[in-house]
Amino acid sequence: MELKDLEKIFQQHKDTVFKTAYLIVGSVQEAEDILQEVFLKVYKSASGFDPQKGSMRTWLHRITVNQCISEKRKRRELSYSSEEMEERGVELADKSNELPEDMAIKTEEVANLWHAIKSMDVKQRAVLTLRYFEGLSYSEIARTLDVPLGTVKSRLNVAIKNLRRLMLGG
Amino acid sequence: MDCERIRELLLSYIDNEIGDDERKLVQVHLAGCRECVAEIEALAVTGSKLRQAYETVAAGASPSPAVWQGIRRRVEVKQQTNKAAEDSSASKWGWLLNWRHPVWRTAVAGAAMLSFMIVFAISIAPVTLPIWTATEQRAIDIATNDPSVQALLDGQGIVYEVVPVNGDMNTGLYQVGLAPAEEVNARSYGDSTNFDSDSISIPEDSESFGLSAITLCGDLSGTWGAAIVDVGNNEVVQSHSIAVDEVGDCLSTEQVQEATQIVQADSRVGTEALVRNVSLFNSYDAESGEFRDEMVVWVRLIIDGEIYLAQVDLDQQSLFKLFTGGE
Repeated sequence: MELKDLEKIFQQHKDTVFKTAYLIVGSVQEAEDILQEVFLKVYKSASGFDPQKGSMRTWLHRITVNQCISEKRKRRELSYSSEEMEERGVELADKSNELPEDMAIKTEEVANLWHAIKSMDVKQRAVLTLRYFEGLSYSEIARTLDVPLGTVKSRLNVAIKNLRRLMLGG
Repeated sequence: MDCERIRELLLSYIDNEIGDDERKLVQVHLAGCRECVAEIEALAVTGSKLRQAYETVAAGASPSPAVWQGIRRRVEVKQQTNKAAEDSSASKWGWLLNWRHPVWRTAVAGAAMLSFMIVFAISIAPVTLPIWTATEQRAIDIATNDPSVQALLDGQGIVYEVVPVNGDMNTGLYQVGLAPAEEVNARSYGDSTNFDSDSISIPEDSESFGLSAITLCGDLSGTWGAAIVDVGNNEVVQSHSIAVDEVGDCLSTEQVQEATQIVQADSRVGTEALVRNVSLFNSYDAESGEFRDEMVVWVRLIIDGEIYLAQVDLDQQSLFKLFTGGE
């Protein structure tokens, strides 16, 4: 694949991939890293895309969700602990737990719901995003996640149940 | 059919993702069960709120243009590396010694850099590649454009590391480490991002080579700096300089090579891993102002596209800590 072809696909799909990743992982920085990794995977495995088996959108959704799950598993990697940072002579700034992007969300109800979503398991967040943001059908979700239709149904049921519980503060 | 079984079907019913037989069962049940009618109404409201919340949250989120720049850079390096591999016929690593090759041609910023790159090529294999994540690149951009950071090193310096603060990427806080330009340029293997007060843009040549196995050897005297960057808020939250007047007993070429071999011998890492940065761990004690004797080094790695950090004890010849996270 030529770089210009990759750029064309990137420009066409970057917003969808980024927003999907952001809604799943809940962090702009993480979503940008995922966006980058997704399109590097597209570049490396362009031959793996078969239009007969599904649309480019479905293929990108699949890579994005897999990358989100993979990123979440690896997030504790590579860094210095606070003690190690102090040993390196760095004073840590006092930070609230609230992410900067949360502050832009003005509506209290939306903010509460978003907060609840972010406390959920990444696989549940993925299925909710694909259904309620992307508007995919159950069978499209099943193809994207490579799971049986019944798994999609049960995962959605559990996710909605959890969400309502969290919203009630239970 | 009981309420519990029916309630498992209600979401599929609302979403019109249910078979005809089950649809009839639900309809019959709802006609005689007020609790399940209330439940289906609540589910519909939840779904509606969820769509609204996603739309609201997503509307305010957009990726930085730096993401495409990062992708382009990595693809170009990959293409150059592939080309180099194809062109190499004498030996597996023969191309590393051919500085006329495109990999090196793009890397060469000047004759002064050429000498150490050849040393690097001979001493360390496989070649390291410049791979910043989008967030790391953003942290660099924020830091190097900030006047307080520029002032730290009198407007001259090199970004030699970017690490998430406190082991937590979710806070968006990154430490950007700055070294005196002359030290790293003259004494280590590869550089990353030069900046100066007159031209803040990142030089193409230095970027194309990128951060590799930096080892900070020899005379380290000068002003070093560190900036804590809040990537989410696009600001530098703290910056300070460290005056170093020591001649450090630092890593030699052989020690970098040794550290590389130790990590690559570990089954969790493997020989395919790309070594991105080798530096002394806790080499400088801010309190006493002295360098420590221990020979523990940080080795930053790219394994299958993911970034890892290993701590290697050169005295013990062991990789004793690998930050793989998550598990």
